[in-house]
Amino acid sequence: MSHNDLIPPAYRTLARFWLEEVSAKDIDTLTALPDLAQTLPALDGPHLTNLAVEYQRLFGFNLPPYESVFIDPSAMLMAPATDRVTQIYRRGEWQSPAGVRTGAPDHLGLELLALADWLDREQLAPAHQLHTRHLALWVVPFILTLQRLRPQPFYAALGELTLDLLLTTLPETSIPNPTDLFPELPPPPIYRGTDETILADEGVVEPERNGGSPFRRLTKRLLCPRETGLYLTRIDLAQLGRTLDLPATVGDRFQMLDTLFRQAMQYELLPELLDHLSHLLAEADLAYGQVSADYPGWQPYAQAWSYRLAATQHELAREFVV
Amino acid sequence: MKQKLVNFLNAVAKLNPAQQPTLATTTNTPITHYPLPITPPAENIDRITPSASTAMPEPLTTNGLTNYPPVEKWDDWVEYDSKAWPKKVARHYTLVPTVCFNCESGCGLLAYIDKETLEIQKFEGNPKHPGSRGRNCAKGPATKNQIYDPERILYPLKRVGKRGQGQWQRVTWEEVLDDIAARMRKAIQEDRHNEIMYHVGRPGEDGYVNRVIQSWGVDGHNSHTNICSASARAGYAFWSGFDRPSPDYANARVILLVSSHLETGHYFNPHAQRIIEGKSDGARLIVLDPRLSNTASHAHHWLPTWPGSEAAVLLAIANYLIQNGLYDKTFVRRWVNWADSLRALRPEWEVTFDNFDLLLKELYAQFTPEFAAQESGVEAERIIASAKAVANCQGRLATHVWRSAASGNLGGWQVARTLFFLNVLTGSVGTRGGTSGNSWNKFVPKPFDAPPPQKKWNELLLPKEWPLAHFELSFLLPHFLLEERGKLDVYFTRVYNPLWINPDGFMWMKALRDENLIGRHIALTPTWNESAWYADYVLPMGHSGERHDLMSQETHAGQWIAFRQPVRRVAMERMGQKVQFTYEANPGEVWEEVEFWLQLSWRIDPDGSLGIRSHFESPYRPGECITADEYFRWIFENSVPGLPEVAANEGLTPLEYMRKYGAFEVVKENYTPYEKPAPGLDKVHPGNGSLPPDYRVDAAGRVLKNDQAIGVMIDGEPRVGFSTPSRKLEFYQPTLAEWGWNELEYTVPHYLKSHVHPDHIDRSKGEMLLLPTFRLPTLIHTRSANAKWLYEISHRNPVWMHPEDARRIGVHSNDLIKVETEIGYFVAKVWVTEGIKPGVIAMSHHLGRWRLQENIGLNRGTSALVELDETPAGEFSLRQLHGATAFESDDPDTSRIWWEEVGVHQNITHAVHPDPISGMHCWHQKALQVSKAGPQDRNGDIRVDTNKSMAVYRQWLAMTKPAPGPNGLRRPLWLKRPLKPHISMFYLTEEKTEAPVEERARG
Repeated sequence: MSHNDLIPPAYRTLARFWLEEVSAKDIDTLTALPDLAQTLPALDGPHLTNLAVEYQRLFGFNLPPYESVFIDPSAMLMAPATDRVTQIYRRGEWQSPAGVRTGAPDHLGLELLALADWLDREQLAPAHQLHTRHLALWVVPFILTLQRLRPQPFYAALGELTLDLLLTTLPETSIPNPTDLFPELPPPPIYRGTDETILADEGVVEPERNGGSPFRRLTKRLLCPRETGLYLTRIDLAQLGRTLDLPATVGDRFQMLDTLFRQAMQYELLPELLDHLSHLLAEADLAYGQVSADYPGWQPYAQAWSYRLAATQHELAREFVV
Repeated sequence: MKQKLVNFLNAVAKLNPAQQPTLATTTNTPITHYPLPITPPAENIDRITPSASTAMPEPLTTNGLTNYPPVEKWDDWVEYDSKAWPKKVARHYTLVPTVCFNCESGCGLLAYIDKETLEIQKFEGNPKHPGSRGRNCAKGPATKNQIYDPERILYPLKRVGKRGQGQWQRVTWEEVLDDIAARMRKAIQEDRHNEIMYHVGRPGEDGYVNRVIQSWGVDGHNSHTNICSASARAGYAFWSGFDRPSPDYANARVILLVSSHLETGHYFNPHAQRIIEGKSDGARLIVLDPRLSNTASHAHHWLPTWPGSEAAVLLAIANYLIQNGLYDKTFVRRWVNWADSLRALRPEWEVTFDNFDLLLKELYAQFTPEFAAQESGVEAERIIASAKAVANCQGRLATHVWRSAASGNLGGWQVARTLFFLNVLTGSVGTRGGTSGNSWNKFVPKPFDAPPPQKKWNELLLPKEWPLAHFELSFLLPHFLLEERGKLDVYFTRVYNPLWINPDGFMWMKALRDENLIGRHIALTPTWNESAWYADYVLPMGHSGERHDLMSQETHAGQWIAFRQPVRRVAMERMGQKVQFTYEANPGEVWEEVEFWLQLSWRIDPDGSLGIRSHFESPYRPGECITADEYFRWIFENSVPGLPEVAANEGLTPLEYMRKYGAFEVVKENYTPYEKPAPGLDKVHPGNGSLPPDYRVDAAGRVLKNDQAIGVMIDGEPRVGFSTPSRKLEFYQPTLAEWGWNELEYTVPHYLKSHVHPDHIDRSKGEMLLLPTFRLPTLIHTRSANAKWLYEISHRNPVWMHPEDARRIGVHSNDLIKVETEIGYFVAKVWVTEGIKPGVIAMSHHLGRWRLQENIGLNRGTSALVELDETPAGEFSLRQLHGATAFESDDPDTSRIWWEEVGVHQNITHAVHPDPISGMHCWHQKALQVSKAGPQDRNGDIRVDTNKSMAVYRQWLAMTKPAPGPNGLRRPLWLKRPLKPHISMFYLTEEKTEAPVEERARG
């Protein structure tokens, strides 16, 4: 079997474990994959249940494994960025296996399956497009975020293998310029909470001297990976609160970060909060740098993400003179 | 490449077939071996084949984590008691499927009943239900809150003192049945059949009560349809004979909604699932809505139309298809009555399809995007973009209009007609991804006995002025009674609150409290409501989980039935307890209608002399009254194709199967049924020989059997066709022409200017358009008012207003405004938002419930205590004394009610607007003045002058064109009625027992 023949089955195997929790049906498969199997104390019911709970903690509650969350200005599911992926599937005449249940077609597992099929069928045009313009762009920040969540060893290993395989096999001739990496996408629709004029009309927020609430605008920006350069999970936000000894925050990411800002203001800890945010951005920048050192082909992508991190640092500094 | 990856690649390469990874949710197929995509045929589309299935996949099995308990464990399901945490206390449940009773979707529920205490622990989704597939909105699980509502009515109550005084006495079911049965028997014996009336809100069941009413021989079925969907239904019926659309969203290429189906509307939960599936598979979503609804926010093309201009926009899209030759000419030539249309509209032209094409171009040339833009306020470019999307649908256009534009406007039925015109032009009728008729996707099995049609016609339901009305003129009942057109001796309101839900509610108050107009008012209801306050009997009927019913809805391209069950009763019977009547198993003596009607009907005719009793005799125990078990057993054994066989495969009887699973998929897919061979002619080749005896083809090409039209010849083949008189889709509508509406604007899909057209609203004088027709996803009209959980989510209905208008009248969000209607005014809070068009204000359904006494009537957490004032001159007012309050009860939650606002009752200030054709109440209101409230005004203030109510009613009455129509008919034979009387009742001029052949063919 040639090196190239090994790649598609490997993608399919990885896709399987991204798509769903590990089940009893997988025991035979895992037994034959010692590097993954040895991350589990045992391949039995209780440990698999424990792993299923971890899957839900990671990908159900904290880190959606969907491209649009990282690439779309809305940072939401079923966004225009999703349509972009659907279009590639259509052009490449690819459909997902019947019965697979994901929240959207741009799930990491589905993208890996599509890539595997196209490589098998030697449809290199859609394969390279999906690889270089999609997977290589968003999966690295996704996996770096996963590592920040301290996953159980199985998912840490799965992330490491996926990143390694994707970046080792990156078709370097097809890599676009850093400035062309992020597609033009329509702006997010107007949601309640984004139009400060309306909010001010409602008496929800006090208009600031510049005509809007800096918390809301900044919060929105910080929660959008495309804008800010990294994905802030609910665990990150809870951790920030704990670090500053602020009351626990709950809710969705917007509520949590908005509350964090308000509380930090109330307890006069805004500089500290900004400092911690800045630290997170700096850590992400270092991580991108490390990936690009390990895989030189990824350098343009690292540039694109680092540029966003830097812009966010600048924004933080501009909004609040700490 | 890192060593770990090398190891991994090598290990994967060595996997044997048995070790290939598989997905738990698929059919154990190794993911290397699933079929590769098939390239779609050229005539098909370039999208991915949809993956939507009608059945929920088997639960995810991951060593203990599942979406739903597996069916084999439903008899004994074990969960830890969450309230006992941190102790691990196992509780054993028996799981009983039922069907939600809150909105009309009929979604499946699964009740978890504690085997030790028989307490219902929770309701979750039933994964075996083909419509909802285990998923529910908030209203399903909230059923538990309704069942355990500490303020619910637990026993039959009889009025003491004057009507509306609020004094009640507990009585037994025996007393209730004997009293009402005797009164009904007397009315029937004295030939006062028309004084018996049953008035239903949303039925939540299919045909059970209709059979009961028909067995009494009365023309007494009244519905809420004319405040809900009559206009949309009329628009569809004029095209096709079916009166509701059933879009196949999941497989659509373009979805066009004149509604907000992602959050509300018929049948929003099952439909929303499939809209999202369609969208995720690449369908374009076009939404016409003046409001930025949740649905509009998901649209690719949002067209915020001025209310009432929708038909102009839809015709501009149609015109784009016609002028550019982008419509499906083959479909139109085969299935549209184009030849009749041409003869009627251009009699001098030769009858060729090319000439029909010319006619279309001529008729619709005026509907340019610019014209539509001027009427709707939507930019022409957006309309053109939508037209291009529709043009690219390739026979897969899924469309829906429900309430909203059709129910809001004078002539709203043309909105449905113009919308379906797009389906016709694109050939998206009954196709995969297109739009079907409701009856193709809804299955209503026949019961053991069908009473004959009644030989009565009740003018209080369908008076001569509205011969084409689609269902009864229900909301005008008090106006008719107060005009002395008739009276009622026994009036049942069944899960229906006309005083609160209808427009002009004070007219209902006047009628309901007058014992000379309504002799006995019997309110059958699970909860208190404003109308029940004016009843003589308040009879507690069950919520979902406390009653039997059979339901089906057109949720997708298949057909299913679902069985609502009294879950505690089923649980008790599983444990070997004997239950005779369901009220023995429900809280207090809450009963169910199925058994109530059986027992009542049996007592009306104890000796069989009225001909009623025979319709209630058991098919299994001759001479004895049928039971609920027997009624449904007969249906499941005899009327549901495939069910007996599927049940037998599991060793169950059909009834046991339905009790176990709660639902059955009758047909998985049902596309283009009109193309099927005409009944009995599937093996006949008319081109080669003659038709069998009893069959003939008439001059119009219809296939007749015994002079009844059963099909139509299409390209030389006998096909089933549609249930219109021509058996084709009727572009030109001859019935409308024959009944006096012969102008082009009525006979073909066209644009009728609404009563709220900008020409009629002078914004410079402060007039605005009040749009009162949108729903909230978390409440449902009158039915959810005892669900504290739901009210905690939504309990306000502020008036949406554009910032431009807010600045003009000087208000900000949460300020009070006064909205003056044609008959009075209301005061409410305003919400300033760019999500509504300038010049339009909008206010949601459902909210603004009230009660007249502190400790009785509606629930304290969901209604306001009001003071009612009335002048001798007929002016009424309501003032809220206080809103929701917390209180102590067995349910600790009632002490945690933190909100006070419960919304404002806007409908009571609306004048009635009966459309002269469909009979629909045209909901949109002209707000004569919208201003900042004065210092004396309070939130929720209401004032109405009922003299003005009658004046507006008469203005609209004057627009009608009364019967008789052709042949002395009071109504066309072919138009629907829920319970069609005997044919002789359709003639006004002389009694006829048999219709002419031509009429029979059409009927």
